[in-house]
Amino acid sequence: MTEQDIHQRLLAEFEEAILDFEGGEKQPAIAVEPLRLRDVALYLRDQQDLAFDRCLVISGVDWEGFDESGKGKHREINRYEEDGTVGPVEEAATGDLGVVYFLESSRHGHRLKLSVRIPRESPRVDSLASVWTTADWGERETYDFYGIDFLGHPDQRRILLPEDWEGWPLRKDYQMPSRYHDVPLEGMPYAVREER
Amino acid sequence: MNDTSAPLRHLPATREGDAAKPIKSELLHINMGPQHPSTHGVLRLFITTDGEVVHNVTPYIGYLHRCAEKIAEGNSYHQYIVYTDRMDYLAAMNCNWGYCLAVEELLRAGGMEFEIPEYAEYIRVIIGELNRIASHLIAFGTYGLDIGAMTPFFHALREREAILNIFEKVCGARLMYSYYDIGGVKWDLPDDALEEIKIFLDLFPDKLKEYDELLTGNKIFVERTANVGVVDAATCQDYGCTGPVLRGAGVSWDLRRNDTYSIYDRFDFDIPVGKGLVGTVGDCWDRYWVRMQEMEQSSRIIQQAVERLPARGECMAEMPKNLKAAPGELYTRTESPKGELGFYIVSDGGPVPFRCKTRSPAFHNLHVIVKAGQGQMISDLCATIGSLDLVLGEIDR
Repeated sequence: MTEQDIHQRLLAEFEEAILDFEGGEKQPAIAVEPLRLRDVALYLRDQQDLAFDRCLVISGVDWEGFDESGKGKHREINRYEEDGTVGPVEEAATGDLGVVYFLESSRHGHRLKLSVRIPRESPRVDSLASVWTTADWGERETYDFYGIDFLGHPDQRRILLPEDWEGWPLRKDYQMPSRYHDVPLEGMPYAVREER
Repeated sequence: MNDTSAPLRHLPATREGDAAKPIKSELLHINMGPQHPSTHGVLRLFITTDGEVVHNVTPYIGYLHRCAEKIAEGNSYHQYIVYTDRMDYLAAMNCNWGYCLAVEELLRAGGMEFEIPEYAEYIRVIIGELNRIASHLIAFGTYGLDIGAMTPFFHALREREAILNIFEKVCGARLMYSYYDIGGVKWDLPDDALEEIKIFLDLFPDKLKEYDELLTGNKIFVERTANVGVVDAATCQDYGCTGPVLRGAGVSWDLRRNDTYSIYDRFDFDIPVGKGLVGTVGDCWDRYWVRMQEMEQSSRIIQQAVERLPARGECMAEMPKNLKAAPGELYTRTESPKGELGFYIVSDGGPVPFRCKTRSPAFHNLHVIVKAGQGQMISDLCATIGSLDLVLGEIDR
């Protein structure tokens, strides 16, 4: 089944819930309406000729400052001050958050990138942990870094960061805390630079 | 948590005629790790046990977390290579390779034209496969330690030492290499490196036989690993297990063959899969055995690559110093010794990646312990963890 066929099948079944399609041999991609994500995922897994039985990886993306023309805002957010610390974020972030799922069928060998975009103010999306168990930990990791709420997740806790960590580090407007449990973190942004 | 219906197959019945009612004792909550020697690093398992039988396993990870993905967003494509070393520190070359390949593919998708010299591709294969052997040697050695066999570890480290000596000659480092670069490899092989590799290849088959005599057919080892920690193929697919764990379950899936990259399509090698030779397909012994067979196949690949190595030439493509990928995104994957190592990179045209996500194979391989650990004895749990070949540096990133 080619990626066009997969797209046509999904379009026929879900109509306006399929927002965008991008061909390409390396990475066919389909963007989905977040409210229908679970239905689409179940359909992709259970149809015999689609049979996407493996979810390879789940990744969150913060689209704040992303610019197709190559003039993103994020470089200002990520800039270093002269003393090695990260400069404060001046503008409030407005961009969407996104979740990306890479799927593969072990039987047919075809691949698909499934993506959703959700508003920053209410980052909620249905959990796919009951569709592919891989999503259990993948979504916990995405929650950990982006604060995206996965509705219906069996055990949504932080996975890599400490339980009492505050904030969502991979969001573009994240501000590094100055202390964590009396350990000063100033002067130690995400790359440690020694002052000479 | 307090599911008492989990199989209690190891517990005897209370008295005759009461077989349906096994002894129940109070459930005990135990922390295993993060300093437990058999967890291969800082892994903490919270286990609920009924006597010796494990009811529930909950892994706690993140003790080695460095938020490498955040670091990636603040560093240029070249600067991030050194951080990939520190993910899977036992197979740093393969991590470098995975990342460099991901950036190269992203650049190509963005319309940049360059060709990696064939000479460099051969070097990449030779060095990458040597590192695969080194990583599997550690897996083999430490697995023996987990089970209680001390000797294999010393034998394994002796051969790994030979590989590390070669790496030291090639790039000056013994653990954190950063030898692969975007567009090729950083330096040419030194004059005597090929000789050393050939000597190693001559000696290695005998060593493999030695390992087999030491451990593979050892009765105690087989008793400890056969039929223990069985993970079937469907579970592997569901939990996203890859690499030797998936192949141990009898699935012939190797990205070097199934989604070939670099020049792997030119070499002749087999993909060993678990057959359940001493127990069930997908048990600890099968995963161990697949790694042993893979070492043999890796040395076959190196042998062919060394024979066909083209005449010395450039080992780097012409690349701009300041890399900027055109806006776009791509997920690229390679077969690392632990499984499918993938990098998902989003570029917005700037000098740093907009997003750089690592798909860590050991992260997903560890997840399966939640299922495989249920109903086991505690000592079998140790055997199962060892057979998954976890590296916490890669899980925690």
